[in-house]
Amino acid sequence: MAGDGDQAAAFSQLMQAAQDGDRRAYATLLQAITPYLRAQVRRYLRNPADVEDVVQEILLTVHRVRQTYDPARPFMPWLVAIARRRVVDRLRSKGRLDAREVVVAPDDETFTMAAANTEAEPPDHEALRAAVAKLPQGQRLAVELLKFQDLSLREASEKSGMTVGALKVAAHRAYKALRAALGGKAEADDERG
Amino acid sequence: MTREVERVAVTAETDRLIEALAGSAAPVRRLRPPLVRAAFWLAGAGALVAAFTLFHAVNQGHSLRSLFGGFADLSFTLQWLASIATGVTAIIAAFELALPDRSRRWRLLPLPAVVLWLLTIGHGCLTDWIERGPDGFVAGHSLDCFVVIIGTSLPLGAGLAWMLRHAEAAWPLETITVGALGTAALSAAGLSLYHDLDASIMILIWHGGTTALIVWASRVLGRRWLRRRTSPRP
Repeated sequence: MAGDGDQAAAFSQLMQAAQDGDRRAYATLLQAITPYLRAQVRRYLRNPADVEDVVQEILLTVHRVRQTYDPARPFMPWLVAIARRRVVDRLRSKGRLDAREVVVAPDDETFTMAAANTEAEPPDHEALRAAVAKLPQGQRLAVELLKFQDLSLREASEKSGMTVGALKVAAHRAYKALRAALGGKAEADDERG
Repeated sequence: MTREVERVAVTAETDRLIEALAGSAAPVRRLRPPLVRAAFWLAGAGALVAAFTLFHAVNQGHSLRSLFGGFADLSFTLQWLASIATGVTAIIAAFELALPDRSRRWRLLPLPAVVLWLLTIGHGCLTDWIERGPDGFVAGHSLDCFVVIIGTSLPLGAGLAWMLRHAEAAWPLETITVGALGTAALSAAGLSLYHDLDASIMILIWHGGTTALIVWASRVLGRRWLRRRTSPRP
């Protein structure tokens, strides 16, 4: 207990020197109080990154308000009050964040339909190329321009000489034929439009 | 293992922060005791309120005697002293609360004066009500009170906020609340010297209401400001 008292007195002297501009005393003081602050903060926060973040905030606050320390008064209550304030701030902002935001783990289901969450099969490029080759001329052109070359309807229309309407119809028929050829549920999709 | 590596990395960051803070530490001037600073601010506020009062008195052609004529009335004197006491105690509480190692109980210091202030206004309201009935409720030129109290409180509050700018280390919301109460109460005390409200219910509405409004607005703005300061960095 006497040791604690000596330490507190030493802290007080270091702070007094720091207030007078002694940088070495200041560095010694900050290094000496950091493990204590870390232990205090760890009582309220579990995540080590959070703990260190709050310790840094406490050090910054100590730095910002170091002129408020009165050497005639004990040092520890001054330090503990600042530390407690920063911990409370962090707990409050965490509480607000938890109340407003839901953290979704990346491996959670993102859609309610089971099919949407099954892993995609690797694309079968050969089958697709063969199916496209089998399409009638107009439909094949529509798929190549709109999907493979990624052109807009207007650009595709200018390039092919087909009207936008004709392109749309050709593309729609081509997708339906491809779905059928690749084993998809052409009818169900067609109903949905 | 990853956690350990992370921990070492952030600890190194803290060490760098300490180096940076210590490296940039210039000598600071210790704050004077809170009572001395409060007295200093109160003297400035007193001078400002007195200047406002004098300016209004001259502007409206009143003599100094008419300014202090109200003190012949005991209930006016009590009410005025209570609002001054509210202002002084609230400002002392604000200067104490702004320091990290002072007790949070300082916020209770202005309470007796506030209660006395409300009681004196309330008593006046009651007697007014009995004497005049609902005719006491005439808004009339008392809207000026609102403008004057806010107009006086703003520069006073700005000076106070500057002197208590380190309060976020301790009890910021309490400091803001008692500070706003102090400035509003002192503004109301100054106002009542040159603004003769003859119905206490109007005093309650304009003095009490405006004081409450200033305290409420300061709390809301203060809370918002604090939230912005303490939200986790992205």
